[in-house]
Amino acid sequence: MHDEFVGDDPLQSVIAALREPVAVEPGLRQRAAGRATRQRRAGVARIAVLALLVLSAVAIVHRPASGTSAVTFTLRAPAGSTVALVGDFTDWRSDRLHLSPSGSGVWQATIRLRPGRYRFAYLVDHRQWRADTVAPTAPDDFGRPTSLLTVNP
Amino acid sequence: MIPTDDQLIAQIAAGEPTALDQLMNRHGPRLMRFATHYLHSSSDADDVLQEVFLRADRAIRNGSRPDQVSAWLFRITVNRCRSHRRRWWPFVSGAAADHAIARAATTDTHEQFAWRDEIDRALSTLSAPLREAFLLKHVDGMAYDEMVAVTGASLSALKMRVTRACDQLRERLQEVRNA
Repeated sequence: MHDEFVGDDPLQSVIAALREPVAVEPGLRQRAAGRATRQRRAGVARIAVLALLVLSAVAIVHRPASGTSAVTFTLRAPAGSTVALVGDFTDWRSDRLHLSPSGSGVWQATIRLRPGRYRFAYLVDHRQWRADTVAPTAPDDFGRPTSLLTVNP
Repeated sequence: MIPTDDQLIAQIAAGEPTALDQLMNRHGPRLMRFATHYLHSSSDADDVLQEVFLRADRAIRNGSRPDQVSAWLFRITVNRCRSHRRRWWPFVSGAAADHAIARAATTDTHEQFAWRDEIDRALSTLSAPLREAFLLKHVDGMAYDEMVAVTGASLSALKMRVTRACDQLRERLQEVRNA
């Protein structure tokens, strides 16, 4: 299987070590059942908290006549000095779109987007990468979470 | 007679309470090994296995009938590992210690322990996509077409990731030997 490894390639011993069995602790069913109960309770609590504090959100207002839709991006970052919006629509450049402070640590920007599927993220103070807390997320090629946005026709 | 995976799936769908336990007893160790090495934490890996158990149970009861049960369970596990990592990424810097502490209870000699610790460190320096591809290819011994089905990545991307992972691991281990 590892015929691409030749001679005393150290990877052979690495793989042998990593291939050693790792046991599953007995009682997986019971632990899973307990987890399901905790998740149900946490779900109720999470909805209550979200109702009180929206950390970030994407809102889409459709304007079919113009062929584009107004999309409002909102992020709560009380400690931030700048918040850039990066995504497919900025070629992932952080110098093209910035959110403006709208009070109480909340930042907002509204842009117009054509129908399509976009990936985006927020960059706080040029270094802190943040995904949207409401939109679905997927990792980019570097493993960082990015948010997914679909603008319907 | 030992039931096949398909028979166990049918039993789970019919409400047989122990069929999923049998399925996880069969596939769980491979899933646990992947999750442990991917997350550098046996307790996080156990959390992921619990999620896999719940999701598989729910999916089968809702009508899912996977053709390749092993690949299907792996796909759930990989997705859960990715989500777990995304959720906890800012806090995981100390998680490797959990793995090391669990291992310290084994009968490894000091040299074996140090070597395994170095392997963990080297593995943790890989980006998540590289680590995932390396573990699936070389630790679980998957063929590339299986990896495509499990990860959703393209064949060329996976080959590139495996090659880069091997190169980076060799480089890291060489640095240790030269230190």
